[in-house]
Amino acid sequence: MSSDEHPITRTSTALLEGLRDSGDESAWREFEARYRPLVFAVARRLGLQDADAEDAAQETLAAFVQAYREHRYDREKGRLRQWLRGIACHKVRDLLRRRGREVSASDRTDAERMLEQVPDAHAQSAWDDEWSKAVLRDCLEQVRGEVEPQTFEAFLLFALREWPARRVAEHLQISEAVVYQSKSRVLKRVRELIGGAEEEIG
Amino acid sequence: MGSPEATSDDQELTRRLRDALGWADEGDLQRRLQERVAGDYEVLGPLGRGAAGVVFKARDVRLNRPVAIKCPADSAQRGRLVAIFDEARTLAQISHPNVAAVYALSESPDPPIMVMEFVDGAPIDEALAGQPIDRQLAVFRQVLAAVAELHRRGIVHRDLKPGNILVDRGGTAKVLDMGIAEPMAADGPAGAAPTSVAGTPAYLAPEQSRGAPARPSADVFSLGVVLFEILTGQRPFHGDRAADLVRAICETPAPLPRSLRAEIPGPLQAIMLAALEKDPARRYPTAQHFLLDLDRFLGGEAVIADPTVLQDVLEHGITRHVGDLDRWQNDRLISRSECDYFVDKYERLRDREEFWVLDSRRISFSQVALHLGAWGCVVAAFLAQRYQNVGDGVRTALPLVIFAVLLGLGVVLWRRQNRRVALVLLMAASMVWPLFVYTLLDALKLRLGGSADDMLWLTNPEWLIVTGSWAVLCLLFWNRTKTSAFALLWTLSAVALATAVFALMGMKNWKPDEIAAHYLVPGAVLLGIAIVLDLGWRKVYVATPLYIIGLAIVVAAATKLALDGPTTRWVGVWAMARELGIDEFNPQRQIYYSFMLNGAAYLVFGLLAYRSTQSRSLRRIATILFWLAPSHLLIPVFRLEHERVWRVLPHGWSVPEVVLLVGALAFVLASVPKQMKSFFFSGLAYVALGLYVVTVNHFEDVFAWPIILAVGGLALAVVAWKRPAMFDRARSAPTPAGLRRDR
Repeated sequence: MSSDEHPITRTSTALLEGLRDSGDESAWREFEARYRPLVFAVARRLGLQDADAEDAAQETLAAFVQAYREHRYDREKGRLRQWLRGIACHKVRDLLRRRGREVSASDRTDAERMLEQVPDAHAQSAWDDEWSKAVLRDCLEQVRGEVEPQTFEAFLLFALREWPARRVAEHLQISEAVVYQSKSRVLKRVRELIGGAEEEIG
Repeated sequence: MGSPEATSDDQELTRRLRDALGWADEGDLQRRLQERVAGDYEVLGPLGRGAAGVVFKARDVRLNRPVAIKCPADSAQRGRLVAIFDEARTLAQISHPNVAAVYALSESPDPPIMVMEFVDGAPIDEALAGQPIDRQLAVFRQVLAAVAELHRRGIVHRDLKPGNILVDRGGTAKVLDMGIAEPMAADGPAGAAPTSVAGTPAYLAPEQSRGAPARPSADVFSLGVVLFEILTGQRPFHGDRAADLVRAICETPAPLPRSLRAEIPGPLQAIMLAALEKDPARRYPTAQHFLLDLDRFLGGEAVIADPTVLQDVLEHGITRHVGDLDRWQNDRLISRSECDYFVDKYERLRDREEFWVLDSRRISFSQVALHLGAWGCVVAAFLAQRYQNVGDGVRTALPLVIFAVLLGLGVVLWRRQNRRVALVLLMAASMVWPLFVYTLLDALKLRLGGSADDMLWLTNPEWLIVTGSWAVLCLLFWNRTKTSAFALLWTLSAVALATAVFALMGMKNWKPDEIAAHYLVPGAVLLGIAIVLDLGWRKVYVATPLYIIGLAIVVAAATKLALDGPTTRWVGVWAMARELGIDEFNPQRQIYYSFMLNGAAYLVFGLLAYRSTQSRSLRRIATILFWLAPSHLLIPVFRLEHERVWRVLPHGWSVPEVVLLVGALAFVLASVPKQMKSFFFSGLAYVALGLYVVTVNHFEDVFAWPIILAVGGLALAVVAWKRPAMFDRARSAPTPAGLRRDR
């Protein structure tokens, strides 16, 4: 099965090509689907409310595409994820600052404190963390599409929910050996996909 | 491969995967929860995650029963869980078989927990997949009843979806997880997460995804999506990503369920679409309203739902067809008059009366009681004129007061949009009006333009005033309400006005035409040919005029035969009655018995014809016979009463007067099951005649009687309006008559 259907695990070259053309609606939508949840999750972790995090994601993606079309993004100089991270952290800060201005004088110290709570290292680790989580979720989703539903369910219950193997076997009416098999099959495939994704991404 | 021993690499990868899915903390949370509830509950393992925490299955150690415990995993969830404690307390007071019960709440020590009934079942969409519609509806009805109870207590569920509605092996549905505020916040707002990993906004109402506070109508929308998914096997709105899905929910009209599953009956489709209206104001306001309409469908009655989607489909279709018609006329395929005819029909479809008219047309027992009450007022006004002894002032005042009360109440209710009840009161008021004018003219004794041609108690010009003012009033009401009920009254008043004009032209001295009885056989033959053409050869257009002509000849001839007296002789009933000593020879009574025989024959033939599912024309003929039957059966009873026969009951009551009243009521009530307007209206007329007879015979000197009748009638109408449930049978178990009817 090709990895084309799964956003983050897919090569971004073709997508970036599509983004150059401002009329290519589908490229923009794909780009949005790929990175918007990620930026949103990071923004939430950095202390923005849902609505603001939405804005941050939207503005980050728009700013990136604009910069890219103006040829300010050079793939040789840095990876896409680092570029995006830079823009995202900037936007989050920007929004936190704006919120600070909007709140009344008495609350200003709160807002300022929030600002100070976003040091670079924290932002970077949040970004990397969310990025790898997104990659993992994508890989898992892809495996879900590749294997029998029962295999995936056995994996979820046994490996992730940590049900005893016998209970999973009874629940799904399969043998315990199949439960173990399911776990190792899914994990093996996930590992393969992660390897591929890490090579390809940005 | 297949080794039971997991490598440390595997362990690390599963940990990372759990973390990526947000499940990493469950083991730790379970340990903390177990410490917190030690001694009370034994925590068995996680069941799932909600907006306000992780749900664990546990065992109540003392009662030894399974429970579900909700426990927040972080501070945001903690806030959400505590925020719904008030609703949970309300919920704890509800003991509904289809709502998962709340057993305990505890805010401290940290973390707060909510202990709930453990439901062992499958999500409703899985549990009902592939089942027949009546079974699916029976289970869904339980869900509606449960949510209706929540709404009655002021609780909005906010997150109804198949995962929150479980059905156990016995087929009992349970609604779980209520009052989970901001379900979207759990998984991030729309667009933040792909639908497959996180939750889905597929069941959220448009206004919910726009962030409006959730009202009961939002739950109605969610239930609409669930019902749609149960019945068609797919959701009404689609989108690859959450944002697309939300856009579809807010903008795309729901597909017609019948296009996905043709066996879904039309009225059920209307109900489904009405629940999925984008505008909450057009949706059922609460689950209770949704439930009532579904019950109407299950009971085989007309439903209220009138979804805009269907109107749009109709509007679109009409526009297209009218365009076709124009083209056809220009192409000389059809004539101008044919084009006009069709366009006229389409215009009428377009100007369909509002849905409340549909509701008021539906005959239910409460509706019958409402009409009977209002009709009591009309009859009281009519009877008032008989009481010459109380003085003209009083007997004229009573109809005027009744008219004023009915009119006033009717207008107020009309303005308050309670049009169904208002219409009944206004109709009654418009009937009281001519009675008032009549009583007034009778009391004034002006004798305007009296002559030998006077037909009844007033002079012909006075009748013109009575019927004329009535017709004007009916026309005004019709113009204001635009209902077919007033169109009918207006027609009646116009007929009365025409009769008054004929009377003025000397109708009294016209001779009835004496046409021979042998028209009966040709008429019957004509009817027979029509039936053969219609049912046998499907020549509907040839058959229809034959039906009408045949029926007219048969009815005219049968009437003539009855008047001339041979009918009863032929069938031997008369001889039998004499043999048994029931009745003695009397040519007049022979006519009455003959008419009753005719009436019985019309009724039987009508019922037979009405059962024909094939021929629409035959059913139309049956309807005409149903208009004839009540009068042929009840007028002779009235005449027999007049002859003072069979006065065998105590206190001087006679059998015919009781039979008249009971028979008339029977016709009224018999109108309900098959929605027979003919029985309903003629029944009402004979109830009036029966009350009149009873008044003349027994309450001639008691003026309190019409007042009692009026007050009683008004009381009955008010009860029927306020407490319709007292009359309409309660439906604890659904009877899928609606399904049977439509299949």
